[in-house]
Amino acid sequence: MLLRYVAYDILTDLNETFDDRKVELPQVVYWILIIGNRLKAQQLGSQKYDSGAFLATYTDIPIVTQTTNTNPDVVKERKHFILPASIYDFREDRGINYIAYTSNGNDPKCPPRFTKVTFARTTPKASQLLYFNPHEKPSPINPYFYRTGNYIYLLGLEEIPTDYVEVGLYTTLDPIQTIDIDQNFDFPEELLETLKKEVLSLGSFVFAMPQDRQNTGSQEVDGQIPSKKLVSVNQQLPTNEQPQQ
Amino acid sequence: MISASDLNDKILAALDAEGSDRYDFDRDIVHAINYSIDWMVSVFNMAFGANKLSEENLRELVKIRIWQTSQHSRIYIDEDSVTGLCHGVWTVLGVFPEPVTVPNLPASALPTVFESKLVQGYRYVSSQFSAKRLTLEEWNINTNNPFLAGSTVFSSTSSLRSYAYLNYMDYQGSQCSDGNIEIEIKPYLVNKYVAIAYLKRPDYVTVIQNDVEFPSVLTNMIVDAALRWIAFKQGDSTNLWQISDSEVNRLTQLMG
Repeated sequence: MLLRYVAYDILTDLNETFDDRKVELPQVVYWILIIGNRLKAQQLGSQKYDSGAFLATYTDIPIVTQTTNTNPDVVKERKHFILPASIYDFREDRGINYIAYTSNGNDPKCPPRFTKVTFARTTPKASQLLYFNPHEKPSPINPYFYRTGNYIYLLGLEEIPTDYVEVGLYTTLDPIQTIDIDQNFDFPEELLETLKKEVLSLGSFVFAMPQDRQNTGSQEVDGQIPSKKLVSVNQQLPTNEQPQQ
Repeated sequence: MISASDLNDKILAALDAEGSDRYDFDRDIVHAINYSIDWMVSVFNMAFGANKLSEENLRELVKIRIWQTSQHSRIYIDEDSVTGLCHGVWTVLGVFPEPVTVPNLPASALPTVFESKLVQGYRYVSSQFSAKRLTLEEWNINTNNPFLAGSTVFSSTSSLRSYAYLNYMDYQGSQCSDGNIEIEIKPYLVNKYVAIAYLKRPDYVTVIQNDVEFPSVLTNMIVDAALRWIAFKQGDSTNLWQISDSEVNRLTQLMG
């Protein structure tokens, strides 16, 4: 499914396809992205959800060290990489599914390299304890990562030359600045109906803004603005139905 | 097209002056027809203002041509008979950036910063964009608003880009002399092709062999307007004035 179809479907439903329209395509796309990210995060973050459908693998992510400190987040002489895309902020950094050494030229008789060593997650505070236990101590065969902002710092690689890693991420929808509406819309198709309802509800809310708060740029009074009462899309029961005793 | 001779016959018939020398074409009728052309332009301008234009009413006058923008993303609609359109422009109906043309060749840079030009010999085929007309006040404050047409926030290749244009303006820096009036397009198109749909200003009638460039369905409206002009000369309380005036009002409402 292309985002173009979703966006123009909603624009058409809102009757905003004419030359005097008040809502432009980028605004509807923006609504889709903010609501779509919430719905997708709910889906991916669910305990029941276990699918690779929206796992994005990035290879050859360069590991760098900086020579100077830069606030915030950049600490000199610590190996790190920058997240190649925005990810969902799930509990315990589960937006990062895995980090592994980049595998180039695997021997076909051996297991894939990314299955041999993966980086375990820690935090700057918790990493202190790791060094007290020889089985937990960070090392090239038992590496760790922790996240600060968009920077992923790596522990255990201090004494080996490693240039690249491979990461699997649960990425957010592309931001409006870069999204291409003619590319595949990276969103669960079974949630499209909910997405459309939510965006239409948001659009209806915008159109229902009291007329005395509107600045149309002209003196005319536009009688086309809907003013019906907004009802939650989750409200399925008739309002006069009494709960059972 | 409506022939001037046909209009002449209808006007004379309405005046019951067929075969009479009371009304002469060069002395009376041609001015009445040209008055009615001016009057029609005024009436249609009101319809444009009310956003009630049906292009079909003016199909003989609707044209689309290709221009190349200046380095400031502006277009001067040159009406010169050699370098330009050879006719006047009544109003701009639509601005279509990034057109597909025949031939479909890339534009080359123009020699000077301020120069734009009519691209002669290029036929408009299609465009995905229709620039939205903005007012002077909207023009600047919308620039950084990604949710309005004409925003420069998106890249020139973004699938979310949309265009806007600002109507005619004289950008000449000179204090006393007049410069070319240009329309401007955003996001900025530097030396790019743009298609503009416009209404040609109808030519005046000078001889009875000329045509009036309105569709034939407007014949009665032009005759009525011409009769009104003749009625001016006969005094404004004649029956002719009242009849033609009410007829014209009715037709104006029908057109709107």
